[in-house]
Amino acid sequence: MSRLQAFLMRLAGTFQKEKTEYAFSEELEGHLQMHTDDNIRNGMTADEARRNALIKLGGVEQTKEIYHDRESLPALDIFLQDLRYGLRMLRKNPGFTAVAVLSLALGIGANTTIFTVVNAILLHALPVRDLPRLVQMDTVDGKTLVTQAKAIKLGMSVPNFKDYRRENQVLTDLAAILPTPLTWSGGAEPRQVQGELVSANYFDVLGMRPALGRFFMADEDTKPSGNDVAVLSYYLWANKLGADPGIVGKSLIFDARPYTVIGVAPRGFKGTLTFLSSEQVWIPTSMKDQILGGKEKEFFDDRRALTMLTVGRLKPGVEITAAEASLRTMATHLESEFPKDNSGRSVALTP
Amino acid sequence: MAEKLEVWQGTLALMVLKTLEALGPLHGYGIARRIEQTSGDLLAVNYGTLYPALLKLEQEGHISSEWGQSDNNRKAKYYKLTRTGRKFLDREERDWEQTTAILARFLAPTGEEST
Repeated sequence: MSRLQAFLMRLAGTFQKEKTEYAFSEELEGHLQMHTDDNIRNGMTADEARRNALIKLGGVEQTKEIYHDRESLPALDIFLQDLRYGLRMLRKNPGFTAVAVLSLALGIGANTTIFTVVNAILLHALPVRDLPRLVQMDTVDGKTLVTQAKAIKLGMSVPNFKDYRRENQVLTDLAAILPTPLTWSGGAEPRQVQGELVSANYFDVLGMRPALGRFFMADEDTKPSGNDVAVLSYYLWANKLGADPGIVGKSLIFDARPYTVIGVAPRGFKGTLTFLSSEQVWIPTSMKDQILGGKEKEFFDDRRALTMLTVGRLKPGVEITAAEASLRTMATHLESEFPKDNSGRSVALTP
Repeated sequence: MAEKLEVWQGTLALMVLKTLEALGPLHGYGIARRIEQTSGDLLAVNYGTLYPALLKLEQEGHISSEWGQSDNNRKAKYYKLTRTGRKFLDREERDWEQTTAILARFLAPTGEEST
């Protein structure tokens, strides 16, 4: 108890140095005077008496120093001195400060960015064919506030996606993805799983082979409400369905509608958005009316509503910068064709 | 004996407390003189070392201090024992007596060991 009390008092002492220092100077002065008085009474001269008192004390400054060490916490005291010195120097040299702060900011920023990329590419490597040729295509909007917030990855509206997919010269194909939660019933109790509405070419663009069964056929997203088929992720199949080898052809209920399982994605594929659950279900975009609700359904065919994520594969021999330039030219055409919806909008590619 | 003994670590506090118990409120200089006298001038007390010890005791709550006037009208800080200080002193005294008693048995010549 008394130790804690002493510690707290020393802590306080560290922050009110001047006051206590003054008090101790006075105390020491009193001490020396009394000692000198006594010495004179014992027959010394005034000078001699004072010197003797000082010698017996062991030096005023030394004593003050030892006293001060006990009064405060020396380590903290020195740290505070250094801190004050550091801040003073920083204030004196604003240029140096700016450079130092900037270097730190850049360093930390670059590190974070690199880690994000490494995380996405190395740690969550997609088991896809020729990954470097895959690009993410996003809308860039030069007119709205979103861009000023540096949010350049804006997705893509369905009508624009269809136009880009059909008319572009630089991509072998372009696929669209819309992540959405699904309710999976029919088990012991309903549970939510991560779903993605995808264009039928999704797995082809990624260049993957199914672990089981098959993926979507090219026209399996064309007939509205007519393609009730689903591909399961390896993890959903292994974790929740006991890796049932006869799963293909069976029926699972998502959002109160049965879907025939046609295939299982390869192990290691966790979907295009690596931050979502790895237990996923893919369903063709033609089932949008059954799966989507509210605004998403309402705006699905709106050219201005950036509902989809798009992933494309560069044609052999086409560099990403050239592809982007070509797609931007297309974007200007689309802008003049649909001035209201595409005003100020262009596109960007990200590997 | 040519050299005076240094004050052992930790014993100074006990001497200070005992002095204050015997003489009541006293200033630093008075305590230093008293310790020197009691030791029969065998101990060399560097008066300066006394003040950190006093401060430590005060921080721990064993003594308290207030400003006053000395006999010949000098300004001085007077220290006095607090209640917890008194208890602390009792405990320390017992411990010290026990320690010295044990040591004394080792140092005292016994029949078998003395030749």
